[in-house]
Amino acid sequence: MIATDAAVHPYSSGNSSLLRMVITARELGFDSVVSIGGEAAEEIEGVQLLHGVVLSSGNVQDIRGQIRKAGDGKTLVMVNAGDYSFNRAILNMKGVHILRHIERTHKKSFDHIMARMAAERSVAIDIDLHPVIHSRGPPRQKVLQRYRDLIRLHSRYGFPVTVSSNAYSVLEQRSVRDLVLLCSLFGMEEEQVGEALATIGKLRSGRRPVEVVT
Amino acid sequence: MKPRPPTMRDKRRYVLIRIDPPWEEIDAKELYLAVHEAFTSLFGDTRAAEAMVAVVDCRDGHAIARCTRGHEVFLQIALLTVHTVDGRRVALRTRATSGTMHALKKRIIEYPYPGTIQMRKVEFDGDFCDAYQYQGQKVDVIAKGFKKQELLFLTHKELEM
Repeated sequence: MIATDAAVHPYSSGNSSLLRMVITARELGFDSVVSIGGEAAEEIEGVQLLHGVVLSSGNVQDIRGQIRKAGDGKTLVMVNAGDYSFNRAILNMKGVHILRHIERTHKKSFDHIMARMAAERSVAIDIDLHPVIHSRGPPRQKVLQRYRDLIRLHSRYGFPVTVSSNAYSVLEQRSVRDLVLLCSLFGMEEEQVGEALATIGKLRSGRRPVEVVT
Repeated sequence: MKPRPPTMRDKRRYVLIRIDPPWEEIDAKELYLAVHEAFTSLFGDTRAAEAMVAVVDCRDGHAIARCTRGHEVFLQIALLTVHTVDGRRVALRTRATSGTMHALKKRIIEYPYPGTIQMRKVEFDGDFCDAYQYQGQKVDVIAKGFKKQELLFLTHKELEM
């Protein structure tokens, strides 16, 4: 998997069928797509299809129970971020692959300690480009600031990052080249975007980053 | 007034844009307003003044936007953030950048699908709806919702089922 869109929402959450979104993703240069709430399938039209679930409860116990139900090994488990203690508990939890919507939380809810923790436990942090495309003014400025800060932590601590269009329609899907351009708005280099697009494949293979033992 | 000699004119770049969905008829002025708003919102008035963004052509599911040389990347990023033109949801996909409009007009002919859009009636959820079929299997269905029309992006296979 070289380029994966980390979240698309097909019909009935969105207005486009799964097949149509997969065809569009292929045209836009993706070789795999994570479908949230769609049907589970291996490969459609030459595009590898992964199934993902989004857990959005603010309660750690609820999340633990939901992971137990969803964690069949094939499903990508994504958790919406919350306050500092919640995020810290989530990063310590087994079975979580991606922490998303960091941009919606308070500035202090993800710091250098959690960045190190995410790197050690190979939990990816998602960069959702939906607000970058669809918001205007101060809300978008806030999102760009958060992502810039996140990329600075990523460069320092090396935790995995994923990039998602979070599209509810084929009109909201963007090409690989478009994602590179949009990510340049918050200081992400082309190589970093390439690595971020390949992160899902690495998470699936279960390979952990090389650790230096001295 | 005597025209400026070519060496003293601003160098310009032209960007070819594909409009999705291709059957949506977009007015060039409305497109200009949307692109200009997106550019100004993202990069501010100063850079918008430097870039001198304009939409010079809009037909057959394609548009050509113009800017000054060196600002084409900013224009491409701004185009990505356009999601609505005159209240209609669209996606603007950059196809090519060139120094002349002539080169881009030739590229429009290379992308043949706007000419192959078929309008037809399809049955969806027990109701007959207008639909546009193009590129073989893509079908855009205009479903009549409770309050307003809803646009659904499906494929030929799903309508057959």
